[in-house]
Amino acid sequence: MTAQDEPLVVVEGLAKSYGGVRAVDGVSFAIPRGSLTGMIGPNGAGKSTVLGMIAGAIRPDRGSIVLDGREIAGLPSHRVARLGVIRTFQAASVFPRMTVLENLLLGVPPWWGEGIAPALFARPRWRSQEREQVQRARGLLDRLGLSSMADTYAGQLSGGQKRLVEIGRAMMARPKLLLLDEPMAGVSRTLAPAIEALVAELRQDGMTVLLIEHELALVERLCSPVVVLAQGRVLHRGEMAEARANPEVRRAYLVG
Amino acid sequence: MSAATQYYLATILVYIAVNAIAAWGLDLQFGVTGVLNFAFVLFQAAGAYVAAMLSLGPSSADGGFQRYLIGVHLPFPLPILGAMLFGGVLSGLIGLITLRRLRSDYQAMVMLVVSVVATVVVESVISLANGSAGLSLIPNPADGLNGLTRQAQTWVFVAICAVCTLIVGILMYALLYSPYGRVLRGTRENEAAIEAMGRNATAARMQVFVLGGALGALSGALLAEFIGAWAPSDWLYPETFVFFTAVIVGGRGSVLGVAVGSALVCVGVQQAVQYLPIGSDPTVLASLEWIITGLLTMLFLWARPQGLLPERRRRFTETATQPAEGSPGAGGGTG
Repeated sequence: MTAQDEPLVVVEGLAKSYGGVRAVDGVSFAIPRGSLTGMIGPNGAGKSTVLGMIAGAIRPDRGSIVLDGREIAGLPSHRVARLGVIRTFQAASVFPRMTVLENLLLGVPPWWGEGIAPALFARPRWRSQEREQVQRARGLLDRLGLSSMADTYAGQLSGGQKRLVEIGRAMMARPKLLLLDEPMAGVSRTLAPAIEALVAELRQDGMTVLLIEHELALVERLCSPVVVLAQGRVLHRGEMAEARANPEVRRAYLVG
Repeated sequence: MSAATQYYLATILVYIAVNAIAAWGLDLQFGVTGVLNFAFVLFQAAGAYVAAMLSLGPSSADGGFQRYLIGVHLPFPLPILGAMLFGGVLSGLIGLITLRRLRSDYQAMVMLVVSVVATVVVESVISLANGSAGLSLIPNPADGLNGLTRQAQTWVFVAICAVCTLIVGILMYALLYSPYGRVLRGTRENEAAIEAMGRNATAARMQVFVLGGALGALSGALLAEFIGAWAPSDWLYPETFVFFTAVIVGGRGSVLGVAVGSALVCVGVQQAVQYLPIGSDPTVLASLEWIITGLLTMLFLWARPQGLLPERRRRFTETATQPAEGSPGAGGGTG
């Protein structure tokens, strides 16, 4: 079931209601391996709820999410993350009173050195492994242009820098699937191109990405395929150019 | 030095040691991991009672004037270890109920209620630990040492406390300056994000709950053995907030800071009020202690929330072991 042409993720009939409001109402789509899949839609379309359900932060009412042949719907977020699904948040979500470098180190998937016993009894062993992680994190900070900020508390950074730290932390995890929830939100004009370039690079590296965005131009430049949501339902699956031609999509954007 | 001065000094030292251990336990929970355990003093009490029950011998001793469970006489250091074990297990059980389903502010409220309920239970069920009269004649492990003067025995106990404090302090450093400590701080800083990075925040909270409970119990065991008595009035729920003040004043997440904070708040304030020109009415002095403790909490949260000695910023310095080809090299620090 994990042949290369199989999609990495298949979402089927996903639904979530909040007190009678159907935020997500039977959403189905697939995320092809190695793709940068875009998910667009007006405010309140249910994009972030879908992402939250894939990431395990929100428990779906119905539907299935199959990752690499494995059902993950309803698993808690730390379990989903251990399966290689790493997300970012709509409001850049860092560990404020920890340094930028430490933020990246927490991107490393859970490892044996994080136990209580190693902390007390195996210091030399975890330190040598941590040293390699620090080296990798510093390399990544170079790439993100944040080298000079390695020892700064993440809470002191600008919105765009926090976003870079958040994406860097996700990259440390070498995820199977990266979920980006409006990575341009709260980012200054000067940093936006850097983040766009970074997302494009991730695609070239072969990472599978699901990108939520409401700025259509950005999605058009980066994503293929795209999924268009409105009022909790899928309006369109396919390429962005086709989506633009779809009258339903146009109406949703005009109304929404 | 006169015997009285020696005893006074020894008492101060024991209180500094015992309070440092307790404050570290709370710091692990509240300062490092962000768990609001408003029932912390309950675990100190549990340790004190268990240490007493494991060292007093059968309750029929001394004419059977007090009633309590277990009632065996174990040699040092078994009562203390038993107390720690019980403190950890009790913490784990209460944690299983409160830490899994509730949001952190509700956890705090439930813990406060747990603390109050525990006091009522121990006061009412006399057969548990002699009700509100409490337990007395709790043996001090140094008492049995032959050939030592009363004073020397006191100093032996001071040494026991000092060794315990040193060991716990070293363990605190080892835990906090490690990848484990990094996960704990991440849990405090941003629960959603730490979960999204594959760490189980609830498990982290449970672990510090158990560890902190064991440390609280250790402090209680030492305290009960030193005083020789332990009763519900020693662990009323407001006592927990003295430890919170100690952690806030000293510096949340700072090992040395919390030790200093606990010495100042738990011991210093009590000593200081004795020298104020307001007489020696114990009720007035006790009230004044509470007023000062409350004011310290507010003052620090408002003006210096990071505390006297703030949590240290973790830096990863480059080591010179591999002067690599222009690359940043290896990090020598720890998290």
